[in-house]
Amino acid sequence: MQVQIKMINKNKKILGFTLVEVLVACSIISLSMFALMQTAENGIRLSNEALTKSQASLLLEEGAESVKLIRDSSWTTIANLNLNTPYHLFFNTTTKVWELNASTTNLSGCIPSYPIDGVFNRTVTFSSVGRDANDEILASGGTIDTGTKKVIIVVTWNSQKVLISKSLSFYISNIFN
Amino acid sequence: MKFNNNNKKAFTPTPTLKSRAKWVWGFSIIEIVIYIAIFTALSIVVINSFIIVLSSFSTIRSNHDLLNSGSIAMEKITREIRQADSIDILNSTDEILQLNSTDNSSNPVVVKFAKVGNALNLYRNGTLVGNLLTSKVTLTSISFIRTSNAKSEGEKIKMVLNNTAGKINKTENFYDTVILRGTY
Repeated sequence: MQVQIKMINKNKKILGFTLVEVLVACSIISLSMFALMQTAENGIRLSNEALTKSQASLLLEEGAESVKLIRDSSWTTIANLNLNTPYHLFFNTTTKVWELNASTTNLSGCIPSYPIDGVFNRTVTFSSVGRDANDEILASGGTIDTGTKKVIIVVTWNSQKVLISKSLSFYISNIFN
Repeated sequence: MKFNNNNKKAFTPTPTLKSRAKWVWGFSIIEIVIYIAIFTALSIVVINSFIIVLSSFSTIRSNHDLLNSGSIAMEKITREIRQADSIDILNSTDEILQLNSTDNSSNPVVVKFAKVGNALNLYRNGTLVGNLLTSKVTLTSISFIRTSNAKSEGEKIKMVLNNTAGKINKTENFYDTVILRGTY
């Protein structure tokens, strides 16, 4: 009887060990696979983001340069704009000049239509600039300088349903008239 | 022999052992079946994820190639345009941009960017400097549009790059506008 019990015990022991082993192996493999896939997914997301960000920074640069081109063409255009209103930049393919428009995202005869490539939105907002008695620019208040505007260019896009935005701000002055 | 017989006799009340032993064997067969099922399911997951990881590697490499070529080429083009004094309108087309510029030692230099096949070539005084794109990236299209006003001159650039490697076929657009600082 003793031998019997031992044998059964032994059998049971071996079987129990195999089951635990299988479970442990399964969980280790699936955990490591999960980690590996997570890493791969993160890698793809980050590399896509890097590419998108470099495109967005070029769009910001383009925004700044085209606002300067509009200024070079005529300061009146900028002086007459509504303040604190987001404008879209359009390149007229016939006259080959940059234009600002606040009311539409798709102007006929102009490129691009927003969102650019179905991804990026770009707005340009102008605000007034106040100066103190020493002509220093103040964060708020002061005497409003009609020959200077603060420009904020914002490029936004969606990444995994999260809105990402990059902005660029600078002052622009009426240096030619 | 005698010992064996004795032993057998000692084990004679063994229906329990037999049935127990049978039951034990039956259980491990089910276990093997379960094990095989789990193993199959797991190996499918493992192989699948392996394929995903491999393809993600090529996606990342393709993105990297596009990012590298796009930013380097655009950087070079914008820097050359900023430094230029004027655009040679007669020798420039949609796909060719010829700039009259000045080099570091104040000597006049003609800088030309042109789409040649799938390459974006840079020429300095008519001599080919090289292709601005890396070997795996092709130039689908490039468009240079000149914009000008009373005070300055600028260039609007649209560059479309493509990377084809295996199953990956990725096309990305790069836009920029630059003012020629020499025209002020």
